[in-house]
Amino acid sequence: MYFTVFRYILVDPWLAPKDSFGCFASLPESMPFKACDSQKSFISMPICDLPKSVDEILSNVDYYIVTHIHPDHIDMNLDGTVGNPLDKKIPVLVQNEDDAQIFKNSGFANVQVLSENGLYINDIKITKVPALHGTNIPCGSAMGFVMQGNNIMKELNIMEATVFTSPNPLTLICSQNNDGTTNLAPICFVSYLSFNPPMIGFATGKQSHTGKRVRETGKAIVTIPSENLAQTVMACGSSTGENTNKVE
Amino acid sequence: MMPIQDSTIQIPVDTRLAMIATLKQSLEVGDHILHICQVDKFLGDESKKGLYAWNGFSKVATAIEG
Repeated sequence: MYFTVFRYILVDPWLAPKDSFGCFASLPESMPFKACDSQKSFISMPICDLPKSVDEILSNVDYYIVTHIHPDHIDMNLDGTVGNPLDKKIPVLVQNEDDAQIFKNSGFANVQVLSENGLYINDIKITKVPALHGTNIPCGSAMGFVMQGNNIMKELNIMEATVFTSPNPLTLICSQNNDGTTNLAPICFVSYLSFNPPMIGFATGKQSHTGKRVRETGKAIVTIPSENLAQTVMACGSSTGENTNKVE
Repeated sequence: MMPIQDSTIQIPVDTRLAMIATLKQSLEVGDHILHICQVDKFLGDESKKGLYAWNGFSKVATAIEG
């Protein structure tokens, strides 16, 4: 799934449940598709479950791109029609007129043939490029495509997001151990919270020794380490102060 | 390490900024605990360049302005 600022584009939407399609060797004569590699002829398909429900995958989709019409790229019926689970009002981009006709015969209202000249979806240019389907034995015509634009954004998880916000704040939280010594812990989840009174917040893992010490003593010194402490910071982050005196 | 007046906690000598803080509230937030603190005193040394976490949190280095 590609997410642009304005559009969700679903590519090769084959949405069948795991194992529901069977294997190429068991296809009826009305579906004249063969696996070029004989070893693959007997693999039950799809080989894995979808990562989300079909409804979730199809929600918010603005365009479909189908690189070629094979039954392991688009859901196919015995009569040769395709795309049963899809919303047939949503535009489909295909590689050639033959594939466009199949989608039209399947009830899709807006089918466009993608060309080498490309087309624009808002400020995203999508261009058809040659694709080689099958490395040793040709497996039929297929297309690749290139998306170009200044506003293409991809979906991230929170760890990936932290790369985008880099550099991130880095502190050494100083707290007091039971024996009166100082404990050091590098913490990046830190923010100013209030000017008046001056307040800050920092988050630690639930099992963090530093967090426990701050909650027990009610005190912490949040420090910004200087460049001379780079190695110290890395070393402090690789152990827990519960059993180790990090100052030493 | 060096002592801080009115605190029993010491800090590293090579520190750019120290915020001496008192915990006011702790709050469970997902898989972390947020500690909300009032800062009793700020101490700074502008001659020292502060460190930041880069590439997410995998690298430690100073920042280059501009």
